[in-house]
Amino acid sequence: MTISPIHREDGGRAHRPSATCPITALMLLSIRRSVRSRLLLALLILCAGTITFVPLAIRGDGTPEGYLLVFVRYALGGSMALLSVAAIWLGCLAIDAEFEQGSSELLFSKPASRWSIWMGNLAGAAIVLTAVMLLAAASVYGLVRLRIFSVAAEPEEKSLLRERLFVARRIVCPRQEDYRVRASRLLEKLDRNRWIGAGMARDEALRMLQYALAVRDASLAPGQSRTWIYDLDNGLTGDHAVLLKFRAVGPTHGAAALFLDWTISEGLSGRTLLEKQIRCLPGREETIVIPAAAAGGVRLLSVRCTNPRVNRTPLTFDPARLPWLEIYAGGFEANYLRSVIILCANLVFLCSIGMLSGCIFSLPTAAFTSLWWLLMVNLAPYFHTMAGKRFIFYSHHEVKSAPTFWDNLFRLFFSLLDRLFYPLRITDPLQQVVEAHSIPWSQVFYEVLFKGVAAVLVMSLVAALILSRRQYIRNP
Amino acid sequence: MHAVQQRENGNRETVVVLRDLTKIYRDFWRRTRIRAVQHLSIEVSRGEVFGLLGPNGSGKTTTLKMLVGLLHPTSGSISILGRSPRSAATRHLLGYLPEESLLYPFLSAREALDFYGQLFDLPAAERRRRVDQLLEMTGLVHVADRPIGQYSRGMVRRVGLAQALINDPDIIVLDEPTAGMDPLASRQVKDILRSLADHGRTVILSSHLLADVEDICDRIAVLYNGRLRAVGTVEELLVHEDRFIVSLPAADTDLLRMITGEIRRRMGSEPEVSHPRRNLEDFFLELIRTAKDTETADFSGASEPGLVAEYLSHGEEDKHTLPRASSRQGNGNDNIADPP
Repeated sequence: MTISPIHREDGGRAHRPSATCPITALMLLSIRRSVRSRLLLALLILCAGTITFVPLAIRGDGTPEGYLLVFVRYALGGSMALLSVAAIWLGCLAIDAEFEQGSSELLFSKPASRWSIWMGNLAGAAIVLTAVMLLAAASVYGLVRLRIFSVAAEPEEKSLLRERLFVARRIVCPRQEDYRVRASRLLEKLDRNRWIGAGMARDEALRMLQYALAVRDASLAPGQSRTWIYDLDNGLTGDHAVLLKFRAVGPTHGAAALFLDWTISEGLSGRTLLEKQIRCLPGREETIVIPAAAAGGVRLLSVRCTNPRVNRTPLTFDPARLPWLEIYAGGFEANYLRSVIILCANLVFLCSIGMLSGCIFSLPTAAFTSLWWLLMVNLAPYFHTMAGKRFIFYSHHEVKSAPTFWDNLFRLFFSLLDRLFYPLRITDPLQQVVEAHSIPWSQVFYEVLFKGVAAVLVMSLVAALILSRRQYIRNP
Repeated sequence: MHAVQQRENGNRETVVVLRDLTKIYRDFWRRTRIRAVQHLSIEVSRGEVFGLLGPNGSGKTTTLKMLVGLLHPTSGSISILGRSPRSAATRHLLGYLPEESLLYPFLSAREALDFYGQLFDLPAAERRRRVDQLLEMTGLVHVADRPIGQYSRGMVRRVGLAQALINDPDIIVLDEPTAGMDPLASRQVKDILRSLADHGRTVILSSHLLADVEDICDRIAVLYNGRLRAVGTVEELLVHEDRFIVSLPAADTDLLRMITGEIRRRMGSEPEVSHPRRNLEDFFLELIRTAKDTETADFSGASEPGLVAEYLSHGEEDKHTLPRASSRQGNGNDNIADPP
């Protein structure tokens, strides 16, 4: 029996091991562990169970939209929730189990860098989670097509479903006026007439005036009209219908129906495309379909809304949500794929949070810390809203002219949380898919590059630093 | 700074240098919990088998872990081939077998060795060749594709030894290499280690099995309570310095007969004519007893008698129940090729 030596240049003293080989080795090890410990099987069974039982438990309203909601939003969303917890658990286990089981002693005595050990483990876990996610997404897509198209018997109905439901649309909002100049002029005038209270800060007064002007422009008295202009960039192709959506509210949130006269015309030539009276309920989203044939070639769209005198009541639109257009921007499949890519990026991000916690703490603490992170990134939109508020504490008995110390303190607290967690917020792309809202590639790139790459790289460097300082003590 | 030194006596390259090494384990509040190693200075030369001896809690494992970069010294320095043990380039030339071979139980021996080979960035063909050779060397060929979780402790230990040799290391650090092995496997392992040393590899090991250490080590260091108590070759340490040996040429039998006759006449007993030599176990026990009598163990777990010490305090007949290795001369494994 002969053990042959390994020839090394310079006796191996100048050898610099590459990072890719250990990463590949650890990635394969991580996948093997998942397969042989039946973790992968367990995840597949749990996801299959979620996709099977959620549609049975939540029956929906029987419409194609209802089926889409149940399958995509609830069944696939449930699988995503399950995989999010699994990602955190897998991440916590990846490094922590090495220490708990003692295999780290051998692993860390090898020339693989701490960074490559971390990245290799993450790559393996990411591949396992992504594979399960893709399988779940493919299953849901198959079920959606099978179930929804089984509802539509006629080819025309199927075609209508493709046009109405299996699409992705982008939202075009009307040109918004910048109210700052008008508000400043108004403020000067009011100031001259001493109509601004002495205790009110000037910037606060300016902000309130801007909002008042926006509300006035979004309101319609009986017999009054408003026109909004929509810039359609490259123009409409005329292959797909355009949807005009709006939500109007009256002075009270009563159930009385309102009638609105809508005139839609080409912005440049003034050619009328559509005239329609719509009966709408206050607060409910209404849709006007502009036929494909009429909309073809239009670059600038003018939408005029009249509040007929018959209503006998003023109405208003939310100034932040004026009537908007939804324009065809691609098929359902591409949109669905983009949403799945975002979900996978989120899984990798969550897994790396778990792994970083696993580097610092033992398993229970690491799992708790990771779940806390998960909660924080889910609460990020709330922190964002609170950080944008001027007053945190309200009282019905007094009108505040300036924020108090506690307002400022809590706003600072929310600002810090907002800065930290808002960029890492977990979005819900499945809702966009269900609402047929196109997920732009910019959003996909942001999620993948910022969360799946940049945040993971930062965490990997922190983890490498922690691991290089960590000592390997077992029963000293 | 390249600090490889040449030993004055043998002109052999010193590959491992420990200088005033101290390791203190502290608790969360930075209070001293255990002084595991205190002011340890050792040098090891290329091609040497160096043994660390000591009872439980004497600091052997801590010293070895510091050598392979798993623990950071509190003070002092470690130089391996002139470099820090924590650099990846140094670890590339090290092979390490920990006290417990905690391998991945879901991998087979072949997969485990291949995995560790990948960590050393060995090419696939080279890896396959080394894995086959090591499996054959450790006698695991017939179970190479079974999961390690199904192996006995001795078999796991063999896989552990094989992974320590996967990269053809210059320096092999072994913590209790024969623990859990049957006498035959233990003998094989010792032969392999001796052969590796004969071919220029440096072996540093710790063991409780004194016979093993005596059998294969060129030099030994005895630790107790984290401090170095003695260091030297086995011969140096076992010679009784308070007695004289009259050495006579073998040819001068008349003179020897006259001297022994005179001694017999004056003392009334037959003088022993041989090279006096202490037993390593006696020497070790005496050293530990002296250390215990002269100081109180404060932080170390060695205040309680260790298993080895307990064993050694038993009668002479019990000592022979440990596997006694044969003479190390002529046991080299000639199949191991010369280093490059």
